[in-house]
Amino acid sequence: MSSIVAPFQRTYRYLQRQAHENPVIFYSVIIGSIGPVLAITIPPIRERYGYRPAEMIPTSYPLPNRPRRPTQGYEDP
Amino acid sequence: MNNLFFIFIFVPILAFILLALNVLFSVHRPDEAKVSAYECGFIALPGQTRSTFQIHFMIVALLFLIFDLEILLLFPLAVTLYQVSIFGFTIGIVFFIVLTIGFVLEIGSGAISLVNIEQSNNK
Amino acid sequence: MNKSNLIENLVGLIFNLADVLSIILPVLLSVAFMTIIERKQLAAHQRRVGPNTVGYYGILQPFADALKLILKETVIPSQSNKVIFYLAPVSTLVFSLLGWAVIPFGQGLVLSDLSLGILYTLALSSLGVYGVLLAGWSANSKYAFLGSLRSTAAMISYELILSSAILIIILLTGSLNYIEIIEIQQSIYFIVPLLPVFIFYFISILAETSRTPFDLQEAKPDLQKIAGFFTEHSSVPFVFFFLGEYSSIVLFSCITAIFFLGGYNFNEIFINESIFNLQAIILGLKTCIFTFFFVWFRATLPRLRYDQLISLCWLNLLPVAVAFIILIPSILITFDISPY
Repeated sequence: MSSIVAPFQRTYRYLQRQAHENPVIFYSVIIGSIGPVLAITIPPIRERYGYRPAEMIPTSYPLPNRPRRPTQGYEDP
Repeated sequence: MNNLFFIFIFVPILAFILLALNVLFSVHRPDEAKVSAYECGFIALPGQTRSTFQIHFMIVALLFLIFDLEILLLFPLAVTLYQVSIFGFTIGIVFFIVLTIGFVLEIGSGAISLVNIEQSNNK
Repeated sequence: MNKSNLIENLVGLIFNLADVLSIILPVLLSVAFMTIIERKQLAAHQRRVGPNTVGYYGILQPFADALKLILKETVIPSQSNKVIFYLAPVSTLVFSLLGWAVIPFGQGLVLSDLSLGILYTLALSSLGVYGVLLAGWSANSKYAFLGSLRSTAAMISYELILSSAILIIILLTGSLNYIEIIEIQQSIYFIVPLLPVFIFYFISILAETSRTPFDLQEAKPDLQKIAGFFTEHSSVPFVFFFLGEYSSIVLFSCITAIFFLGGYNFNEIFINESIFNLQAIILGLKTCIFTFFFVWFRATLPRLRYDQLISLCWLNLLPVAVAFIILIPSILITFDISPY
């Protein structure tokens, strides 16, 4: 049993030491790596519970399928 | 005329009006001791000004240049995060990871640690 | 035809002048009162009375000071570069006053509603460094030179933190326009979701305006009591540095109020269609909160050492800023709530 836990225990001790000695760097790395982890794990879970991503709001309109009408009567006098 | 353009003209004029007021109202009697460089209690030695300074200030300025550029490069991404969506976000994260590697390298080499530079100078 | 055109142009110019004066004069007054507020509040923190002789409760003290300084003699050191010597204080004042051009005081009450208002502000705050740099260089005095070196290194380091904090605000709003930033905060003020960001943002603006925990240019024993980079400046050039510093304090307080406390937003009763809408007063009160913070920190905190200042910025604040720059867009993407 102890042989399975032992390497992880050393890692855990190392992390504990880092959290004590460089708390800013340590917690920055944790906060920063939470972000991508969230972005990978959360959307599948949300989809399993029935969330469908909303349709993208259109940023342009479809061009009409006809030749462009020339505008007339708006020239400066 | 544009208001922004007008304020760009108006504020310097205001500043120069204040300077002119000072010229009008104040006395002006310089003497040799008054116009010499400031020094604590004795006559200023020539050749001490604009001397060499620690490389540390230069390094900080250089690092600022790179990092500020990189953060400003993210501004367009921040404005269009909805449009570029997950793809642009991934690119942004990759960009930032590269930036972070550079940052770790810079901290590791001790470039911004003033104390280390002082110690290495003493050696 | 020609004559009426000329009159039209003149009338337009007068309206422009009125617009600009209605921004600049209250700003100059507020800067003047900022100095007396600082002195009175520091006195209150230390259980003193403070200035109380000139006018009622010493209210006219800043005007007396300004008049006295205008009447003083300008001493120009013989070894200095004369043009840059005058240009440095002027540029400090000008760049800090120009920042007010894009601040909205109410719905539509803005001198110039730039769509890139935030980039304008960032550019002007970067240009503010030049005043410090040129002043230290042109005076040709070793104390001014050392003071300007320290100020410049501190200011540019903390500008990095400032622009990363602003980047996070932009991520939440999706716009670089001040009015849109304010309008999007009608649902919630950004200080609630972004409290950690607010903390390092505020630390960075304290350093950016070189206020007390970070006023290193006048800290070390060799620079004490000779005021850092403006050692050689006297009378009106000195007033310009002073005005520029306090103007940027008020400006940054105002920008903080806009970014984190929702600018002119408040409960519905204060927003009405009549001429007496109180939005500008709301913004002013929120600005006062942060100016109070500035003076409060000056009364409370001791100074940092110089290497502590630089390592606080690069080793402590910048990793946190980078972490939040990665975390916030990830949350926006994850929950599909990025602003349109």
